[in-house]
Amino acid sequence: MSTKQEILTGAELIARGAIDAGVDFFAGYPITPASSIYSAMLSKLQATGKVAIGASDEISAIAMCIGASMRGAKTMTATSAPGLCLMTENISHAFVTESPVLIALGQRLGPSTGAATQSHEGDISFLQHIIAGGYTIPVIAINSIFNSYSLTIKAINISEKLRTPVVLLSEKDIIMSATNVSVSALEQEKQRAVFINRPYFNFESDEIYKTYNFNQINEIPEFLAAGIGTKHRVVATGSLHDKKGTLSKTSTEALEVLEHLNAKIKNNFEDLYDLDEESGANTLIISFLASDLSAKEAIKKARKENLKVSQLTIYSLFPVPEKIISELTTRYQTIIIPEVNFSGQYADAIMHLINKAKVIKINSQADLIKPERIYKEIKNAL
Amino acid sequence: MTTVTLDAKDFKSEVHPDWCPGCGDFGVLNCLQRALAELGILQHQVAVISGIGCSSNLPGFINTYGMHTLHGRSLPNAQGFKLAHNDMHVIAVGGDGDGYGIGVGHLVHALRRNIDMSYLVMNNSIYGLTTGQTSPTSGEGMKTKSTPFGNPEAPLNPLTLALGSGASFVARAFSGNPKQAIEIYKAAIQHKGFALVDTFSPCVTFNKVNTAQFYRDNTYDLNAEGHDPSNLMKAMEVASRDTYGDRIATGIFYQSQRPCYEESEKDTLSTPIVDHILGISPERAAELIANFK
Repeated sequence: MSTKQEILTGAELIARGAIDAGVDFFAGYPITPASSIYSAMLSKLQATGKVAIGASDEISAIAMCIGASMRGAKTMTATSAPGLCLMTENISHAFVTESPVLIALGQRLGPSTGAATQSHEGDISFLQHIIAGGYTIPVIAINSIFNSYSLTIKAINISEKLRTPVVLLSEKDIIMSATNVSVSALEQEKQRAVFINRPYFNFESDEIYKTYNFNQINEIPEFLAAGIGTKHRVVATGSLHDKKGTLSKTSTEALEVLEHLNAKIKNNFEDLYDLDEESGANTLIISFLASDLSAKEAIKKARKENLKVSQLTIYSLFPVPEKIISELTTRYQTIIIPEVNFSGQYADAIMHLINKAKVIKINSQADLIKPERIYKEIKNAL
Repeated sequence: MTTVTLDAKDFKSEVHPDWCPGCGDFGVLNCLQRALAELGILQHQVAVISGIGCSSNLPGFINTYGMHTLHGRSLPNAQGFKLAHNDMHVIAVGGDGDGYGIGVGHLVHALRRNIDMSYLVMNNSIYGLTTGQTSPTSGEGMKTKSTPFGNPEAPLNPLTLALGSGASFVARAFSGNPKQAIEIYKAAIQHKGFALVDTFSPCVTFNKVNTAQFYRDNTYDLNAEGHDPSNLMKAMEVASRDTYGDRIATGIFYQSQRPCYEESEKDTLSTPIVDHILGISPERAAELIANFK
């Protein structure tokens, strides 16, 4: 086995994952720290003759992606919270038009322009409620530089499979930090990965094509790219519509389409998490993003001293992996949730699933959580 | 009445600019401070309003009212500010990405609306704060972080855009020619209407093409050559011909006396909104407010 190593940033690995997963259209607008993804995507895609464009603003960037997605491209953009705010209307548009788009979000300290180069995991609540009407889009959280590669592929697969915008959530400390990565380990990740495309409609079929067709409420409509073949007309709209894509405000079918938008994600989504359980432990750490690494350091130290502790690492923050959280939290007395924001945004999002256990939030602003703080709470819980 | 004599250092704030040493924006800041001083405008009579970018940090470094708003959104903020306080000099500032990229929609409408204010664009043909991506005024073929194989897009011409959008004052300066820049800024601030001044303000760190030396070698003063700024067609011709390439015009391209927005809306705007007298007596107003308590 080769021992060759490369020094790579999270941004570089996100770009590699995206290219390997088949992304062939990228539009972005410069913003720190997401510019690192933007630059990596532009140089890589343009080098292979695919489309990568610097848009005149974030509104144009994501709108270009939606247009390209309708033409059949696998699309991606990258931004940070100020850009995400501008993209919000278009993300709703992508959701309603069932257009796969990956939004790589590099978090930084907010609100407003905030501080572009300070750590933060503060966009969690915003993302949970980003679609007007109370719908959920998948949010996949990256917990390490190395995992940036395979989680990007998974996020793109989800976007394609479910025909929905997906947020790939990272933060400044992952995308702008570099580490040594084993070339063979990365190759293994690539071999293990599966690459999924959206379900396609046979353009030669005589069946009438409907852009948003489904028989069962949770079925994903088959996709036909605008401009393929001559038999079928493809119409897309962000307004309330029937299965064909015709504007319709109150028809039974239009309301069924709304119900379908919720059901298709809820019923087809597969939760992504890792569980590291230690028998006899009464303390469980629920962690995600870079705080997961702080937790891992703390656990290593605790276990050396024979302190028992388990860890649930969550990758799919939304939809909330309700089953595993409610099942696990009945078996532990103390739940520790570290996150880099002042209120414990994800802890609040899952609190209703935790019945008896005591919840300890560990929070910080503008800086990563020191493993020492988590270790102290593990010790206190005994 | 007492007369106050000001000089540029009266417009210096306590914050030292965070720009790279040698940045063209130092020249713009200095010229703006000197222009205000020479016009005898007091610090509290000026609001400097910016977007986001290196140059948009300017309101922090000038001793006037200042607003550092969102990326591309300086003009809507500045126009709102001006309409509520039309007795003040409002100067919007920002970079080419901020004004000609993300904020260009606002610019077009500000030009035709013709509110009495100035807009100084520090044009360096690059995104500096995000470390060097192609901007709307980067030249064709230019290699940047976002165009590693050369920029395939034609650059935007801010001057013809402005002239075609109903501008009443269009000028171009160069931070390396302060004598001319100060005179242009003074004229822009005194102009009754929306005044756009595009200023070459070279980025020493990320743009190795549009350097100070490049502009020293390739610019000429069109007013010194007898250009008539009241002639729109002539302005269009010069702006269109002498913007890119090796003969670049600077100076006042065009100035017209068409009524500004405030003059067309005299009834409501002759008094600043904050000074408007309500159509009811103070006693009656107090009674009404009491009802809501």
